[in-house]
Amino acid sequence: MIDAVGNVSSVLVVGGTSDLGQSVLARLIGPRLRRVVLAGRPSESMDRAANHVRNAGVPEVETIALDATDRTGHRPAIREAFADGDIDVVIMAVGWCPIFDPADPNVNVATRCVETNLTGMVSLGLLVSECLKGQGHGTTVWFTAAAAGVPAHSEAVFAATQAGIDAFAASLAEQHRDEGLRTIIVRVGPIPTKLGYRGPRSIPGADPAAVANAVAVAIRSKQQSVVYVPAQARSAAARLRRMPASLRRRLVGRAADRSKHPSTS
Amino acid sequence: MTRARTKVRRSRQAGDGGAPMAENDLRVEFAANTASEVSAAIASAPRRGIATRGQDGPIWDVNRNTGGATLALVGPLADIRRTAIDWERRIATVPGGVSVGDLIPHLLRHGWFLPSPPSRLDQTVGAAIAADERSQRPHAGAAFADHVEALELIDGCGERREITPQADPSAFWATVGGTGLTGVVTRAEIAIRPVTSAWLSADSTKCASLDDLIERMSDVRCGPDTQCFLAAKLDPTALGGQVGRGVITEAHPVPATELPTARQPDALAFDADPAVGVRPSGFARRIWHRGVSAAHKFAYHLAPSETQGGLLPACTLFRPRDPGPNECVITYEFAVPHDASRVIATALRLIAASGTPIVRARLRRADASGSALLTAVPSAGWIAELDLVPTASTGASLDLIDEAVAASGGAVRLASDRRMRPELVAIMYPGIDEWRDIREKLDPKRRLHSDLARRLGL
Repeated sequence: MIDAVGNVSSVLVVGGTSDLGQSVLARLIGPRLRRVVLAGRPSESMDRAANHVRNAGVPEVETIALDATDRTGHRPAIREAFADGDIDVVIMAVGWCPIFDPADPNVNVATRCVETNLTGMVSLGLLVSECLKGQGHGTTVWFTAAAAGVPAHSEAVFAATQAGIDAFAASLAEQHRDEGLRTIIVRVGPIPTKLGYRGPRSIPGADPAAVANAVAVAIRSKQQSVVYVPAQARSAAARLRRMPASLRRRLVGRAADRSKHPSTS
Repeated sequence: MTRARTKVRRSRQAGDGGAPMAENDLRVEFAANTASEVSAAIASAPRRGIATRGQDGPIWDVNRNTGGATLALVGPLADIRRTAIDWERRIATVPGGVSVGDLIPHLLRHGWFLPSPPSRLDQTVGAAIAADERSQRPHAGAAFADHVEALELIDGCGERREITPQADPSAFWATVGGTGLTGVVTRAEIAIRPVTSAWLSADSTKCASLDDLIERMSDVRCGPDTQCFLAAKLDPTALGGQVGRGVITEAHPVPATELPTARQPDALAFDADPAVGVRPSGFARRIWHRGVSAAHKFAYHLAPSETQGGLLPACTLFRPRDPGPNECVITYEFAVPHDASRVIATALRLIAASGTPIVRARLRRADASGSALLTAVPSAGWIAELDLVPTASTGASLDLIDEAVAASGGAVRLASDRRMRPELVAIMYPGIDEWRDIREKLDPKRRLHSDLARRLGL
């Protein structure tokens, strides 16, 4: 349980190798963090991530095999994570953003993207929520795209999953409020991670470390439930959503052109 | 027994950077009117166990059981009218759910007082025993439990036990200070002493440094037979060589005949300080706490360097009531041995360095008393009680102070702890293994549980 001065003692990262999950974990690591569970597909990078946490001085580090697309394995994996004690913070950091060619959309890749980012995450989210209700406390951190809901030219499928997961997390948050659980939705702007960064250009101060910082502050504050990183993303996304489509197309199109030809910008 | 699944929506009032707020709003609550209902509630405890809590008073880790059930003693078990006073044996038989704030005026009305009154009025008699409460008396026998002659305990198996320090010392001294994990106290027989007034005659001395204060407090001599209360109010804003300066108050009960004539008719009246009415929120609260902290400085400067024979009402022996469960103040209370008073100065410096406002700072002298297994005061020493408003770096500072306290042979009090590391319990409480053995017998299924027990792995 997060104690009276805000110390977190156990963390579960669903999507253990994700850049955002890793950076939030790195920010939370300290003398008071006692237990870390990394859930994700078994791989070399997973072992590396676990070793990294172990070397940072966390006494109990576990890895759990979990594939977002294999829904039958979800329940045993999440149960296993909660079996050895309470979890204070759950970081939901599963995401996949395949590169689509709008001219030749690959339906298989598209459905797999939805299965990973939306179907899998909804299933995992419900299971985590069930376990948190059982222990009576806990904070869930969700990552979604700040621009979810803004029509995107090339990433229709990814945008759809992000809008879906955002709506799901926001509704779950309302449910959790009544149960005494906390939900933090982190709406992330264009940030360079290995998920693929194809935004116009990098914004100073917008990187995984900034996300980690914002999450740590939100966990402590006990007030914030929606966080935008970078903070400007809040107004930018709102403006893009309300803008006339013609104007938005021109703005976004120009930015995309600039990113394709960085030398001319 | 009534069992209710109640949804309690607490006001979402967050405090300065991390208000301690009860996280669990959906609770299974039991209310027991009789000892057999307590047994039944314990027997039907859910997987995460059951914790006993008082009717009022703050909900801290010790009486909160997130995800589990809580038990409140109500009706006859919390009715002050069920208190019986045996005038011959000088013993009061009190139901376990009666609050100290009800008991003290009731006893005073009949001309009695507790030899070692616990410091908080908003806790129940059972909680005061389970927390191993200490009075302000500076000599042996200063623990509240030292004057408890017998207990009725419903243990973790739901069995009713009559325990006394003579007949069943292991269960008795495991229950005293056992933070409620050995059973629920449903009745206590407490030794009482006759008084004729609820007034104290107090001498106060202002000390400009902690060393001076410690020296003067060490010099106070009063035998266990005389009633003497000794406490110091520290100025938490003082730093450098003046760290830990404060005003010592030494108080003795006054017989009614020695009171001014105007006070004599209602000499036994007891008016507890009402709960602090001001509860600012948000930014105003931040300023408020800084202001309260600074007010200690003025209070110190305005205090006369020495007074003698001033009259104080008995309510000054107790801490003011906590305004409510959402209040963001945490109490950090620790005991250090007699020769380790420098730890107190270190603590005040570290807390000041972390930018944490201290809204109340008290120091007491404690003598070894009783033989509670989980006692914070195994030998004679000092008890410091600091009320802080946590900021972002408070946790790290308190962790450092914990280390210093443990290294000096002292302990952080479990009953008010809300953040300690579990590793330190074995160092601070050498009796923990023996206590665990006794708890294993009293509550083998771990039905009695609390957030404190879960965090510290008790």
